[in-house]
Formats: sequence, structure tokens, C-alpha cells
Amino acid sequence: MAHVLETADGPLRVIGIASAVLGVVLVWLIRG
Amino acid sequence: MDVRIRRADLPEQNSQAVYQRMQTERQREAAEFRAQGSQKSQEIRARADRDVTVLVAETQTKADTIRGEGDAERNRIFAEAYGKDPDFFAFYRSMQPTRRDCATTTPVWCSSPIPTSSAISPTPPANCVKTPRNRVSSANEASSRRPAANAIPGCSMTDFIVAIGLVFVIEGLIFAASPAAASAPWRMFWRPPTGRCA
Repeated sequence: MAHVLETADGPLRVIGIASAVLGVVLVWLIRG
Repeated sequence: MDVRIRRADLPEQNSQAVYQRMQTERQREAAEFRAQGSQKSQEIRARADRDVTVLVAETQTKADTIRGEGDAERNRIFAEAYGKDPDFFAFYRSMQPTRRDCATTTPVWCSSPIPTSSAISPTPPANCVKTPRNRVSSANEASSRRPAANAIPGCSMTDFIVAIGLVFVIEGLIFAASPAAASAPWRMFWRPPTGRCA
């Protein structure tokens, strides 16, 4: 957990964008 | 010298005759009471039967009256509808036998939409297939329509997956917009172990 909290902002931002894209794709596949 | 009569018994034959007469008298009274009770019960039954007949007749009369008033109201509404739009009224009336027949005849499955005139026609179009009501894998149909025992009314697995997707979107956008602010709560609640007991 400490290692995760020490992650820099750049990777976290990329992971966030990827998560948002994954969520959009998931919703689009189910409801589209 | 004092002479007194303490008891005088009748001869045995006379005593039996007296007892027999008393028994006969009691039996006659019992039969009379039974006859009176039977007469009363017949009177009560006849009165109840008469009341039932009267009540049924009055109720039937009221029902006929209400039904007649309903029919008159229906005819008035029909006449009013006909006055407003004769074409729609004719179409509506033509659909009534179709609706009645659809409830009793074999369902028809069509691979594409069909015009209204074909729907009214007794013979289905070429792209429609008659499916016997009792043949269509009734077990599968019933199981697909029957909700699971532990299912939440109004919810489905699709909604759950969509909710998961929305969580991904919202949390991902928060992390993408401000990673420091998004991870701040975790930093606040997570303190690395110091190795000392309090």
C-alpha cells in the first residue's frame, strides 16, 4: 500500500485515464 | 289398641296397567312436542326460502338495470366517437374481432414488421410462422420469464455491470484530473507501520 501511495502523479493519471476509457467501453458495450 | 294402615298396594296386574298408562301418556306428549317442533322448522325454512327468492330476484333486477345503463353509456360513447372521427371508429370496430381472436388462436411470429392490413388478415404473411402455443419450449420460456428467487425486483445483471462501468469512469476521471487529490484520502487513512507498539 505504501508503495502504491508513493507512485508518481504521471502513472496515476495514466491509470485514471485508462480506467475511465475502460468504463466508457464497458457501458457502451452493455447499453449501446 | 290403635290400628292404622301404613301402606296399601294394588294388585300386580293393576300396577302394571297404571304404569303402562303413564308411559303411553308421556309418549303421546313427546310426539306432540316433536310435531310442534317440526311444524316450526318447516315454517322457518319456508320463510328463509321465500326471502332468498325475493333477494335473488331483486338483485337480478338491479344487475339488469345497471347492465342496461352500462350498455346505454357504451352506445352513447360509441355514437360520440363516431361523430368525432368516423374513419377511426370504423378502424377501431374492425380491430375488435382481431383482438378477440388473438386471445384464442395460435400466436404468429414475424421476422420483420408487417402492415396493419396483413395483421388483420386471417392468413399470416410469408415472413410469419405459426407457432403452436404448447410447443415453444415451454420450459425454457418459463425459466427465462421467471425471475430468480434471490433477484431484486427491477434490477438485472446488466444494470450491475453498467454501475461498475460508471464507477470506473468516475474514479478514473478523478485520478486523471488530480492524482494527488485523489490519493490524499488514502494517505490520510494509511500510516505505514512504525514497528513500535503503543
